[in-house]
Amino acid sequence: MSGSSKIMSNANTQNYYNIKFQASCFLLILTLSACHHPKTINTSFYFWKTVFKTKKTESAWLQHFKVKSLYVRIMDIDRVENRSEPTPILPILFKNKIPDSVKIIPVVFIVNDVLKSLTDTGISALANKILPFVQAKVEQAGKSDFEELQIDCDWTASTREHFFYLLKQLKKHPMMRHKKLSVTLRLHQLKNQVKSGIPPADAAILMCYNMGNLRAYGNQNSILEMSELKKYLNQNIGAYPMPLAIGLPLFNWAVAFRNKEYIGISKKIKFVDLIDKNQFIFIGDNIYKAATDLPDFGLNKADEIRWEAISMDDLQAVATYLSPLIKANTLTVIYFHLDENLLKPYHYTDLEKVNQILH
Amino acid sequence: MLLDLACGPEPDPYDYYISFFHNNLSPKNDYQPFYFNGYTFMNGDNYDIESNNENLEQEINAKEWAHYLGKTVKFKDVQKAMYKLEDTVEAALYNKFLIFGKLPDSLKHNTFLRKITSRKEKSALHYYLFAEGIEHLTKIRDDRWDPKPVDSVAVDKKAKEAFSLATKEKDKFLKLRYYYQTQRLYHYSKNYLAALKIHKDYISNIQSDSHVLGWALCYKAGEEWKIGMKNEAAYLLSQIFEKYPERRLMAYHDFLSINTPMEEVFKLCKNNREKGVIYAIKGFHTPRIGLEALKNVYKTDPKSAMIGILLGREINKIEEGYLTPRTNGDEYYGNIGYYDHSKYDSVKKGFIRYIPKLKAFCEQLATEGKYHEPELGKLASAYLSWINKDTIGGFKALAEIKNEHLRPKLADEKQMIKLLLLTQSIKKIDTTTENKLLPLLTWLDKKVKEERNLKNLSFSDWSNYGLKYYSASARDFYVKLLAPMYFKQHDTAMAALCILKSERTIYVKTITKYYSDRGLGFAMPEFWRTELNSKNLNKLLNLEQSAQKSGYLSLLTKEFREPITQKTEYELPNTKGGYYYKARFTILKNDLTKNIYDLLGTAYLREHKYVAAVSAFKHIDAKELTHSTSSGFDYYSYTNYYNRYPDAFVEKLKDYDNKLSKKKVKGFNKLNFAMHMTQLEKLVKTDPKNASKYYYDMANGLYNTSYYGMAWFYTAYKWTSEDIYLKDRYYYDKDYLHEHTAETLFLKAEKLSRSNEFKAKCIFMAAKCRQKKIKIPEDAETKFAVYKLGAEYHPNIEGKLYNRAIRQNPYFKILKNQYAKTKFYKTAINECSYFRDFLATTATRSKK
Repeated sequence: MSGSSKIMSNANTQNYYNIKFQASCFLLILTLSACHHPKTINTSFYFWKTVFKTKKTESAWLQHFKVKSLYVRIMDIDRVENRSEPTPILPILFKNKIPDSVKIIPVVFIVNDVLKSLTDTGISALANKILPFVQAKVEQAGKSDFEELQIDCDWTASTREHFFYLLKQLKKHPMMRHKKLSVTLRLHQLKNQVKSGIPPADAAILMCYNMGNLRAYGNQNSILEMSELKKYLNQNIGAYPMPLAIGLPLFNWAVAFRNKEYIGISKKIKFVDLIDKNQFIFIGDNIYKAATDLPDFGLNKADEIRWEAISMDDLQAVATYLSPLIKANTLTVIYFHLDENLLKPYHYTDLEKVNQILH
Repeated sequence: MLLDLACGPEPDPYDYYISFFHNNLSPKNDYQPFYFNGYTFMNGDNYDIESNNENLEQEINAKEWAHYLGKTVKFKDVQKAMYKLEDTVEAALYNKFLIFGKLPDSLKHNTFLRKITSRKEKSALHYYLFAEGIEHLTKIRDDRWDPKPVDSVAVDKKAKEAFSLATKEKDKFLKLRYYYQTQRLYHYSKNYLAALKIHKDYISNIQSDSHVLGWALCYKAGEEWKIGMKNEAAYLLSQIFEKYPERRLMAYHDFLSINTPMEEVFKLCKNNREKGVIYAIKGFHTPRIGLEALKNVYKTDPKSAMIGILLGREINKIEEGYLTPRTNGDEYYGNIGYYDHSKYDSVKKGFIRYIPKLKAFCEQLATEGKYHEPELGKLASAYLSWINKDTIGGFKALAEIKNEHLRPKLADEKQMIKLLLLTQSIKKIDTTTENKLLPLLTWLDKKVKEERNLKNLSFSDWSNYGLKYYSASARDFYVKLLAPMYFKQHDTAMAALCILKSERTIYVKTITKYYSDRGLGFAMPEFWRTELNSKNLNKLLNLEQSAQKSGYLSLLTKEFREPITQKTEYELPNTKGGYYYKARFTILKNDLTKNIYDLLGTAYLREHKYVAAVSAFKHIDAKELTHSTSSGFDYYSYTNYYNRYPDAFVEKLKDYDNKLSKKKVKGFNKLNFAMHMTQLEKLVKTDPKNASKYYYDMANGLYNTSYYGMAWFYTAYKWTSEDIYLKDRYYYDKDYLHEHTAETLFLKAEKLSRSNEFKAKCIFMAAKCRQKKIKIPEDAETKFAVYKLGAEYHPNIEGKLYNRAIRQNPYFKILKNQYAKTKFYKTAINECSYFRDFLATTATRSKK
């Protein structure tokens, strides 16, 4: 046997390794593909204003993202002044109809405290009042009916039974026949499922915002912070026993402090006010100090503002973290909320990138 | 056994602190909602105030129409036609009759409708129809669950129509109203700029006394607020607050809600008077003491009517936060009002520092000659001196009131303060000082009687004092100021009379069936029922019955013979199922003397003075005495019963199962009980051979008239399950709760008897008595509740001690050692589980 038979020629060796490499790549790709399923991302928005008027910018966003359903806040439910029974607060007024191509998903926000002292009879009565009211508003929006009702409530351990009972009453109401009932889910409720329970609904939307301590003085972003998110959210999202949509923030606000004590959220202050050096002094990070008394903003000199806003980097970071955790084939992402002023800092491509990451 | 279930008490928001400086001293009551009240947001229930305001506004508008249309039109008819028709009648009226000029029968005599359907008033009719026609568009829906939004297109259309009618109308009265409707309709369609334009161009330049101008201003304020002109809106609201009482409350709420800095609003004020109103509004919204608002109003508008109200508020705050807890000895309602007064020295000190400052302001008010009622300053100053125990300073301030013809409210207040100062000046109360007080007390009595005819307004329905200022003041004066003076001098009888007088300022004169089984003494104050012994009661009877009663004593005992109203309720079947109650009221003559004799007899029973008890009870009509403890309400079967009598001498091995007898058994009423006890006492001496039986019967009599017996109401007037947890409260508790004398008598019976069976029984009964001396731990209630729920009971240390003591009753040892061979011994074992436990424990020990 000659030595040449044992030794592969250089060319053969090269070929061998090439094939091996390609095979490895193929295997790797196969393996990776087995882990990552491309998801269909449906984009939607919350509409949270008390008057619905057609705005060009907002309509354009709905069109661009081919939004199928718009989550519209119909009303809050709370107790008012001397009334002992829960009452609609600031119900939406439709000055224009919702575009034909977009379905409405009515959302009713219930203040947690309202549930505390309700009896079963009171809860049933509430359910019986909510549905006709919602139906009437849906018709005012130019629709004949709705397919899904969402209830938004930050329920706690003490109101859990009442809230779940309300959901059951809603679900079994004749007006909810063949309709879906969804609820909002806060991060703490995802994490503490034993204490919070699993609501008797068909689906839930996980609110990935308002996770930090709003009232604590500091330079945190209480709307969205990865470190906070990771405390609540991990594999548990995949294990939640009902389909989950994801809520992401697109809003900003000015959180006010006096002597390091929380005094409220200013509805009037915009970022452009903060960068006006006659009004505010930039301290660092996201903190600004009132340079003088600003009565229009309800601020005294030296009061501080923590400006909390959502950058695309933030949203992409969340999407990157969430993507591998979500196993579903279809994912609905609902942005809070649709408002031409809030959408100004963003481009379509920003949200498209987020969708791509989630995909 | 009777169970008293109680909850509360809840303080009455209009009568929860001692107040002698009444809050209603201003000439008119149109600022009543702004009087100080630390318990509610506005003084007087919101709904009442709002509905009163609405009624006032309706009346104002109706009067303007009546005046416009002439003498033949009554304003009540206008009010009815515009505001008080039922919806169906109103719809029929509008749709059919007015358009065709015919009125329905029910309204044929309505002078307003007759007038406007006459030929001469076509324009008025046209306006009326227009205004009625748009009501449904502007009515603020009370049902928030109605999802229909306001039809702004339709409303806008009507606004244009109203404007067109206004420009064509020549009559000024109607023209103003058409313009008002125009503005109003634009307002409801949220077309605020159009509404403001209407006001500016067509309403603001109208010269008229009509209140429609004020209502149009209200809309203007709302419109300015909506478009962001907050300071202007606030300024307008302050003007409305002052000038239009029917919109005062709304203006107040809205002014506060706008929450714009005062300094900005001041820039719009034309003069100091207008600034004064704004300071006053802020002052009305201040719950804590402070002179800032008062001083500012006085500085800007020293003649302002609001000064008196603000001053009243400051004094009432002092009464609530300082005078009341100090007078009550810090036993107060606790955390109501704005302060937890009794706990924090700093709060008290704050008041102590504040009073002289307020007094100084009052002097300024009285002496500077700027305020139109300087005497108010002096009255307030005198009162504050009284609070500060500066009697001389108080009298001095009163003396400095120069006006001899004070208006009635101030004249009365002066009398009240004089009485307070005079009482404060007395070091020792005796006949001389009582005579000094008499004229003012007579005056106070008269004021109380005058108030008896006042109806309570609905917001004070659940309290008897409501707006009865002098009744409340008299009540507090007698019990909190005068009675303590007698107590200090150890004159319990006179103090008791003061307490009775205090309760009788508003005596709830009805007696319902539910308490008719408590005995006649139940009608007297609790202090009389529980604290007065026979010596005190005899003194009271002597005072009351003395032939030469002083004027003072006559005043204190004046209510002894007030007639009472007996309320009897009947249960009648409802046609729709269930029952309803009807009440019948009968006015009966009354004499409290019989109630006092009942108390006296009962006191003698408690003191074991049976002969005297018999004598006392014989002063009461026998039927009435029997009836007072033999008819009442059975909570078990929830029915009334009549003629049920306690078997007061029955032998009870068990405490429960206390059924009343239908027959008049021995001791069937208090007199009969006392008579039998008297007889038994005699027999012990006259028939010593059977003395043990007599002692045994007496002991049973005592046991059955104790807390644990079926005739407890021969000794007490109230029974609650909490009584056994309390320490001895009253002079009779050692027998009533702890069976001291009964135990002694059972032992005497045992000692004198020769029958072992009987002796064993006596020891058993003595053991029962001894058991009542063991302190019951407070968690005993928990134990029973826990057992009921099926959970495990874990007693605390107190509970463990009790469990041990109750099983180590010293008489158990005697029973076991001396009477184990009697038949009764088996009965004792069967009857008493504690005895069984004792035996089991001792058996175990002996085995060891």
